[in-house]
Amino acid sequence: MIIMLAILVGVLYAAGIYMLLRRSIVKILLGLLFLGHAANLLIFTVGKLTKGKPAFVPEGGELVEPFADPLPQALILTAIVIGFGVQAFAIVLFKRAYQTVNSDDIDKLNSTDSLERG
Amino acid sequence: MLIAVLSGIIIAALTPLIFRVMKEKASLLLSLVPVFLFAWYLSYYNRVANGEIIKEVSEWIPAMGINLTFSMDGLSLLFALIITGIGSVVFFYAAAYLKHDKYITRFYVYILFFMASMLGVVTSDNIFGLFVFWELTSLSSYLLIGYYFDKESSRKSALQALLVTGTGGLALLAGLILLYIITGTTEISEMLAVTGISSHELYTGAVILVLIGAFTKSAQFPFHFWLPNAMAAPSPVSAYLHSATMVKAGVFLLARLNPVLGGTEFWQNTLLIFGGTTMVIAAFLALKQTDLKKLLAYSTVSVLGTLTFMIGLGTETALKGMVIYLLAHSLFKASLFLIAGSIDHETGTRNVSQLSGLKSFMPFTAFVAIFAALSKMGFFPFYGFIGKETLYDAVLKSGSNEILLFSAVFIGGAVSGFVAITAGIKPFIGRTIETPKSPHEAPLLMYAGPIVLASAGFIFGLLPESFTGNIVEKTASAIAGTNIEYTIKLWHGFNLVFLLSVVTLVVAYLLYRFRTKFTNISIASGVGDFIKPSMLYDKSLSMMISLARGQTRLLQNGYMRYYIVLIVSTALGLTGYVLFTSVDMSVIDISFDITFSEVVILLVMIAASITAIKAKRRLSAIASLGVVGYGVAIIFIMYGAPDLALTQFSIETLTVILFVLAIYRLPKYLPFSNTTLRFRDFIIAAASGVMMTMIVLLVTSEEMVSQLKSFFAENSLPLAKGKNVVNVILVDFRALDTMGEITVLAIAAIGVYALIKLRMEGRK
Repeated sequence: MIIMLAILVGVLYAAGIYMLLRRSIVKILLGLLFLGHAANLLIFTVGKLTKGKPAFVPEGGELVEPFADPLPQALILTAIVIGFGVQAFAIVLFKRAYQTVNSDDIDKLNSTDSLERG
Repeated sequence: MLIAVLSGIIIAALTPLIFRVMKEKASLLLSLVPVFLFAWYLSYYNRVANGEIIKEVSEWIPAMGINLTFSMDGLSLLFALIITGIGSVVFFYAAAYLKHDKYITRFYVYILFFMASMLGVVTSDNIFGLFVFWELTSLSSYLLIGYYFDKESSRKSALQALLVTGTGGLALLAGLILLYIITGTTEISEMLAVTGISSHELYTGAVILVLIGAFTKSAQFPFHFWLPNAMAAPSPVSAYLHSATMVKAGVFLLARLNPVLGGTEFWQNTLLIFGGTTMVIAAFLALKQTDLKKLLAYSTVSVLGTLTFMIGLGTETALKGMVIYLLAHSLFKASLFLIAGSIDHETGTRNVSQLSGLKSFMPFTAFVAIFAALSKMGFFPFYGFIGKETLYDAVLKSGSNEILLFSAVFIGGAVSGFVAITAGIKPFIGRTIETPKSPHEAPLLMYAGPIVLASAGFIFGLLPESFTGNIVEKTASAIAGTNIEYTIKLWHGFNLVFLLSVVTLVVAYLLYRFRTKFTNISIASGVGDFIKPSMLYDKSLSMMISLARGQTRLLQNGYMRYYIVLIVSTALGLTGYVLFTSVDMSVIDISFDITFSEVVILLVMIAASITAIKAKRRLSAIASLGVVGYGVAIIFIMYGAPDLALTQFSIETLTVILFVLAIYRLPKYLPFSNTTLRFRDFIIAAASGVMMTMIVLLVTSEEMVSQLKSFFAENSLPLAKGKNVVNVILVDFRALDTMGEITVLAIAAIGVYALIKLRMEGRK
């Protein structure tokens, strides 16, 4: 099971970095999303996997092993939400930029001069 | 003593306020600060003169042995008195000199700050305290040289002085750290007791570094060039920082550390050689100057060389001579600079050849100037005379190479006399020449101070022992590190030294009489042309700038993907290197215990990722990415993380909706990159992916026991009254993190809102 997740993390990182290297801003945003997934899965995987049992304290009893480690989960939860904040901001920022420059090309954003020409 | 040092800094901070309240009178009030400090330091005179060393410790960083330790012996007190005494004169002078200047407030802020720092340098006993104050003097000197900041030359000179002394400062810091390593203490007074310093393996390094610091500060060859350029500062600054006090900080440091580092041939000879070279070269360069202040500046460099030279000589007489000459020089050179300022102020020119016959217009100034000049020439019975005689005496008694050493000092002395005649006497005698402004007497404040200084030079000369005997003796003792008993006398009889003294005056007069010829010789000799360390400075500065420019062009070319490639490949290279060289890969456990459902998820997610990358339309790319997100959520469910899965589902949905809303009207992708570029990116991306897979496998093959896991499991219910441990961690155990997270979200929300709002206003 580890090997599967390890491969998946690798694929997602590769996809994220590849997309970040594109000129299209939309693709860069997609790359950002890929990297978000990749990082979350990375933490999840290295934080030790336990199949099935979530960390819930049963009614009237105590939590007994094996159960999933709650700490990486808490971290990832935070990461997902913050990642969403960043993505939402980036998407709206892109929209604004597109309306100004009228292009999806990040190279058009290199200098203020090209902005004026555009 | 801490109070004395800090008072200057505190008052500097209050100065703008004082000016706002008192307007023009503020400068006079502020001028009382150095006067009070002078009186305060003077009150220690008797105790110090009796041989007492007054100490005061304020803890600063005691764990590292860095404290604000102040100590006052003869050397510190002499410098403190020079700083505050000449400070008083300069402050009052500036009140008149800069009366109509727009930025007079700034001037007083800077100069108060400088005075405080300088007092810190001379009274610090802790080497790191000393270093901090040392750097502060460089900083305030920078601000003061650049006082006329609207002139390019001013700014350039200021920067030059800062860079040269700042570089020296760095060397000094390194030297002081070595000294600390050698002696194991940060207090200079404790270093005196340490033996065997000179046989330590770090000794030579420490000496070289400390000397670079001292030589840059005191404008010793080959670092001398910044000082004449520093004449871009207003005259009071030149008089104060660049002749009487700051430039002597280097000499002070040599004197202070002489008992610690001195006594070796290396130390003594280096000082002799550099001091002597500076003395002679600066003298030659002085001969061709026509600008009053530059003339005085080169002469100052020459004198600083003399002082270094005398410490290098190191005999009792040499040290005494050095102290007397230092005091005399501070008095007459500060006066001469102030007078040069007055002449500039009242006639509009500083060109010596245009100045003549001013005595009828500026009688008081002329009187002071001639007094100061006579002391500088070493004329009987001025204090400068005693200084010069003692120097000659020391050189003649040095025991080896007397002729060579004497010639050097003689050249310095003769040119000093020449400068005195040219700068202090020539402008006032002879026939009147027309000047840019019609000359008239300077205001009282501008000659009263110089009168005090010049008369001090006269009175000290007449009664040297009663006025300066004790302090000179104690200072020389502090420099030597042993007790020196000494009585200063004005008159030693008609001996060889006196004869040579007279010859010096004659030569000085001859230099002046035939100055055009000597000027030509100085120019023709090319001393100023082929020995030009300033060229080296200019070259290295421009090289540094072009290096920075090239480096910026190389690393910061403005294309984001270029940065990403750089960052990713650096990470790849470094991590890959470690992975391949020092990590045992055999620990990786590759067991394919995969269930069918897992394989399906894996394949679907990889397929979705490829689709997202290769999609021709944005919408299908986003939809595919949504599939990847849901896949992640399913993985969360499979491995006991229902909370994550829930969050992931909802966030993924939101993201996709937001994305679609933002871009659904955009046209198709345009193909921006060619196949080669895509191939390159693919290689980089694939390599990173492989690296991440390896890292995951490596990390998970380690057995990890999380203590936090059991802590949270046990305490979730009893302490936080929650059964869902993940939720409890978020809202209870790590609630502050969640608080931060909410803040981030709020900021992002404000940003999103602002961007949308901006668009709407743009439409209107």
